[in-house]
Amino acid sequence: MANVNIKDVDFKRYDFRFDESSDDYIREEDGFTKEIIKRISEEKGDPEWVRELRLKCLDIYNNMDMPCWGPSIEELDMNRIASYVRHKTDMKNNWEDVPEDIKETFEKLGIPQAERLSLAGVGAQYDSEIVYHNLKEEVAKKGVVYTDIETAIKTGYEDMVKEYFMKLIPPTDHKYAALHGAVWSGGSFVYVPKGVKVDVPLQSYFRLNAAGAGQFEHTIIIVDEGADVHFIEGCSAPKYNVANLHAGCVELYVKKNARLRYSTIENWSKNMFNLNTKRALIEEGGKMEWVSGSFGSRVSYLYPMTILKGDNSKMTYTGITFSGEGQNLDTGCKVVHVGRNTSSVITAKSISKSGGIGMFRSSVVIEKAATNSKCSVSCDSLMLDSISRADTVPAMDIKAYDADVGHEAKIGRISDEAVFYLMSRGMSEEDAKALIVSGFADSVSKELPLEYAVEMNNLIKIEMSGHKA
Amino acid sequence: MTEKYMINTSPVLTFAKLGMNGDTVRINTSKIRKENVEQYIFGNGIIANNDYEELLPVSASGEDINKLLSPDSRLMTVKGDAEVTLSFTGSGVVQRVIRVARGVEATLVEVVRGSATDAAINSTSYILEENARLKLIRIQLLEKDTLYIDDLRAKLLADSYLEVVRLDMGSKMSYIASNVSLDGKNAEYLAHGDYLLNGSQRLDINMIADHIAPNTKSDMRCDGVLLDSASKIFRGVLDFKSGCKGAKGAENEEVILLSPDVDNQSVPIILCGEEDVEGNHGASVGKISDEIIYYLMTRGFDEDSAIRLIIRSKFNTLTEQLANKELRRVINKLVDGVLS
Repeated sequence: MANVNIKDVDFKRYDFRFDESSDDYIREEDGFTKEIIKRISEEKGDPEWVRELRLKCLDIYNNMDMPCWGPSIEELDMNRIASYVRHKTDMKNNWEDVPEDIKETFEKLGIPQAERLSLAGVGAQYDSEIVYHNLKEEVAKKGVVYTDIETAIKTGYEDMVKEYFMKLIPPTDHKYAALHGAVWSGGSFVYVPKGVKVDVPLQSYFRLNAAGAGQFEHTIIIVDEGADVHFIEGCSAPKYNVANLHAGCVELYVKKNARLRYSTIENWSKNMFNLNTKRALIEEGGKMEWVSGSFGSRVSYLYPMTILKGDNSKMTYTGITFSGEGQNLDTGCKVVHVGRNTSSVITAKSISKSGGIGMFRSSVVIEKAATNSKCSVSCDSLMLDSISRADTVPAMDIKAYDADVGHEAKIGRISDEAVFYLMSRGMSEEDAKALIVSGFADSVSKELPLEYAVEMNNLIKIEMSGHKA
Repeated sequence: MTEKYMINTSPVLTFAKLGMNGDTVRINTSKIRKENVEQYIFGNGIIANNDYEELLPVSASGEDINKLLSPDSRLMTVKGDAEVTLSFTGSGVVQRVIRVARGVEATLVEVVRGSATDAAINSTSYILEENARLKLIRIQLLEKDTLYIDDLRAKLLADSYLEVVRLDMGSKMSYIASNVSLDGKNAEYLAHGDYLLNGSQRLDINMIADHIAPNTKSDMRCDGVLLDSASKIFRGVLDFKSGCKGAKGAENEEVILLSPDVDNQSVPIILCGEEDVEGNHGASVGKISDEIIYYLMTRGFDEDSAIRLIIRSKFNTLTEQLANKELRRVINKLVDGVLS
């Protein structure tokens, strides 16, 4: 059968930039030294415990080895990464007050429109700092807190931040978690009080505009007993010919009988090294839902982890990764079952083309105490040509004898039989293949709110000859 | 002199913190002697010869295995059905290259017995020439004080077929490594390993099916039962190299856990550098389904008898393939002993 042109993800919509004139921006010198960390801490007005933690994390970073098991990040020269870049303006809660170039950036990305149409609250980070934050009044009246970490510390939530900050992801977890602890800036702090259900999602959008810089935002979400919230995270950057680094941390605490859905559409540019860490701790009867779309970055290490600590707690992970030319996307997820009667369902899809490398990597650990627990893992990889790679490395460690664990993995190309069947029903070969690839991604897009499903479909841009997505 | 060796290292690593990327083993190499292994060949289907030179696949045990082996191997050619017993009278090493000539079809039964507290090392490479078909049944019944290293390598030329059926019941610690290189087009590899482990036995498996030529097929299956505080790790790799168009590979695992102290680890890997292939993996880990036990209990079995019956039936599938009735009796007796 003739080759059909399935194009790469179209990044043009995200690949625009504004020059950051030195008059408007503060930019730290490249590299990660004690002096730089002290200056960042001073610039941000950290309390003493934060400052001490930053310096301790830097020590840990300097003494830890690089991860030995993932894709190469040798191209990432840490001496040529600026740890902190910010516009001189402060955070605003009205788009009109946001500096023009930044406002225009977010307007092009559709963030203010999305806020008006379908969100309960929005945070927008530009380089190292949050530039806009707003929460709808009716949601704030329910006691929901949604701000950035620095503001949370300064507005009465310091004890809460101290209790949860870098506790789920300790700086000793890995080298880039330690680096994050040293230079973190911006991010989100969300607290949903007991029994409060937030009907429409909250969203944080992270934009890294500066060339040769790092973004190290920190997100803490605490969903108290019986509460319910959907949090959406979006990320993008313009493309440069120098390496950029993203090493954020996301710590999620889901209390008894609470539910958190955390959706991510990641579309960093192809010069980005995305070394992000996400982790959730779920208590009794709690439910964690991850929805993840990974499209951008040159190299990604991304494995959201869930600890099902409480009895009867649950986790689902639904993710898709599209690896195109020059990309090595190492994604997947991790789950640890600790409580009794816990369950997890992992569904992962991967598409590789034009020399892209897609790796699904997962770990499932069922501890001895996690009696009567269940886990199901399914990962499907679709190869669109023979110059790409699709690998799967799932790991399972089952210590509970009455666990029920199932795993399925499939790697292959678009089935000739399926194409033939659709062609026998009157479709052209191109239409048939387009339909099959769309269907392959459908299990993820249907988990997203409509606006974001459309966004994801735009991202995939599966453009067949004569057909536009 | 006791030295540390890396063993069964996975060709692609998972998260280092899981500790599942390979193992290290301490071996007193001064106690390992070739003369501690006797090889008994029954029947006329296998002859020794010394005229075969061929580049062999690398070991799935890892590079360190070469430090334990000497350059010379026993070279043998399979002409027809045969049975071989490898008997370890102490710590020892056996190295063989077994050639199955073009067009030959044979069944080779290998029984590994004896005791070797430092290490019993069995490194055997199989060369299957064009259209050769070999069914290899390897039964490992070593004493439970033994550290066993099984390094199986195979090179399959065009249209050849290798079936490996194995049962691992003995030794306290077993490292089972196999690397089968499907070099010739239409070559086919079928592996079915069973194990039954109790006490503190541990089994460490590293299986690789390397698809190089077009239209090659592999199917690796590993099923077993863990009792008491036994533990097992299965690493399986389906590696579809660029150019193996039309290749199909599968790896499957079914593990029955019968005690709260067992530990079961699995890393089933699929590597794919070719578009036109099909690779599948499936695993099922847990206790025996309540529905099946309930069904048997409604037919008059008590719960323990029902569990024993289910497990016995799994091993019967293997023992029924053995022509040697005495060997069948020995295995059945061992299975009954563990289950009682």
